[in-house]
Amino acid sequence: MIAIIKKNLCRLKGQKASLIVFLCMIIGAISLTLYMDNNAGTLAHIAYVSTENNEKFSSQLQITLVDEKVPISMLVNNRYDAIVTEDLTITTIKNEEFEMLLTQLLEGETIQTPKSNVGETIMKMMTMFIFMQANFLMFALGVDFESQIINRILKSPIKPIVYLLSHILYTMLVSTTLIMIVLTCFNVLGFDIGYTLISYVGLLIMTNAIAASISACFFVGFKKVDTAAMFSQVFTVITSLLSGSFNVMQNSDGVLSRVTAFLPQKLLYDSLSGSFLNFLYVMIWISVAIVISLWIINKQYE
Amino acid sequence: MDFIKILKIDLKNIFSNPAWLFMNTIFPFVMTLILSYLMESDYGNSVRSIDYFAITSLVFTCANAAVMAANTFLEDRIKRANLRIMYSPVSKLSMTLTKVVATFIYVAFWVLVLGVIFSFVFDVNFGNYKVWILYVSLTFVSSSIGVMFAAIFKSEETANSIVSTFISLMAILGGTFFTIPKSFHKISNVSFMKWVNDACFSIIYDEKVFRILPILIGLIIVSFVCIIVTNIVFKEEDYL
Repeated sequence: MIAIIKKNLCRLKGQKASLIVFLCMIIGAISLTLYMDNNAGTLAHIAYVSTENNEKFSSQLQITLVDEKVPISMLVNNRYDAIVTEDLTITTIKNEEFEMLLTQLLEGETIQTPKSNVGETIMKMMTMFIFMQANFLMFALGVDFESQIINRILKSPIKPIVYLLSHILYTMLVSTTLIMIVLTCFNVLGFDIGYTLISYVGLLIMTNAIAASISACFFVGFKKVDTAAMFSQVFTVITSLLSGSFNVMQNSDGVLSRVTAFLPQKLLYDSLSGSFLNFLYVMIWISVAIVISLWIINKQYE
Repeated sequence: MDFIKILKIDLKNIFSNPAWLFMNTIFPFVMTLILSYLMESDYGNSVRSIDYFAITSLVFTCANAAVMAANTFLEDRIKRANLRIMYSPVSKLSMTLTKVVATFIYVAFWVLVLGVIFSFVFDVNFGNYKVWILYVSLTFVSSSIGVMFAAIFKSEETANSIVSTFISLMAILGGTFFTIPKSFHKISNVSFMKWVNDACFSIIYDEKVFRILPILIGLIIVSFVCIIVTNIVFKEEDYL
């Protein structure tokens, strides 16, 4: 096992550029979360068609004074939430609820909003990148299959389970270490990262374990590196979005929410609140992915 | 003549790959529907969520041509055939440019098909022909960027991971998966997908004469630079 991990680390030496790209993305995701957390008090950003500010407006409004109505495309690309004229006519592409909220804010009311957990948001922002990083680190496994090196490996005294677990452990080790370095730097610099570093180690080990085992399943199943990487990427993007990564999940009612409740990322997010049952489900996902990979290896190579 | 022959083979290779077909048809289609559904409640009636996400998903698909182009250049199956071509009396430019053109034709074709489906089935507002010109130009630029990355990194895995991560990052900053938080509009300007998304929305919603020429010229220059860099950086020995 140690020999495989060492070999993989050697293979990684030639791919420093990719690791740096991933590190930058993780740093970007954390910075974005911390920045958004500092600006969490603002509920809407309006383009106010006037020459002077209206002091009656709530402080939860971010106001930009404009000479004339801004183009509608600026509402579509979310530059502004609404255009408000001096006679308080609202132009927005958002729903009626938002219009009502905006009316209250324009009348000077203060709206109470629940404070989100920074640590939870950081995890929600990082998960997709962690899955992508695991995908990248699992390329070593994919190459072994594509180039048929696996035939030689399995002829050696190593057991398929040990070989597979070595790759998963290597991915967990590299990915967790890199992200922990970044998080420690943020912590040392005095930023509030939500959870303690020890908690992050646990969460990252769990996230990386599930990301690595699912990624391994794709590489073992497809055998062609580019096809496996592509399907794994598709899986990562779709499941991450459905699970509420980047806080995009707005429409969480109905059949879809029942389906998404069992997605790995969703289970991870739910387990952040300390639910043991969700932790158990995550373990089941990891086990199932490993068992499927082993079954494929045993069926095709032994 | 050589160019056409190689292009035909490259097109045949791409069109016969089911994974590419999935990536350029089902994936953007499903992603658009999912995102539209998830964000439906955030939008009113004048501009629906699908009006936003159909536009951004197609921009993402065009940009994803970079990943595909990198693979068409370095895929093991194609590499061996390319190696033979390289040692025949065919110019290096024909070899690299055919990959760009083949990827461009393939992706542009499916983007147009998806656009027609979104337009007729879901009544998505695509404005006028200028949006399609932007899509097609972006596909060409992305194909050139993909082949350039492949020539620079020389390895399929490195090129694949860097290009796909780069495209995902650009997509996030460009507002493909969710609308960009207001405080991040300045930073998001680094994303070329944001420029194209903004340009598309300006064309569709502002009903004013939108100057497409500067963007087109910019995209053509980027493509031109990428093709030149590819031909400078790429050496036949790297394939061995």
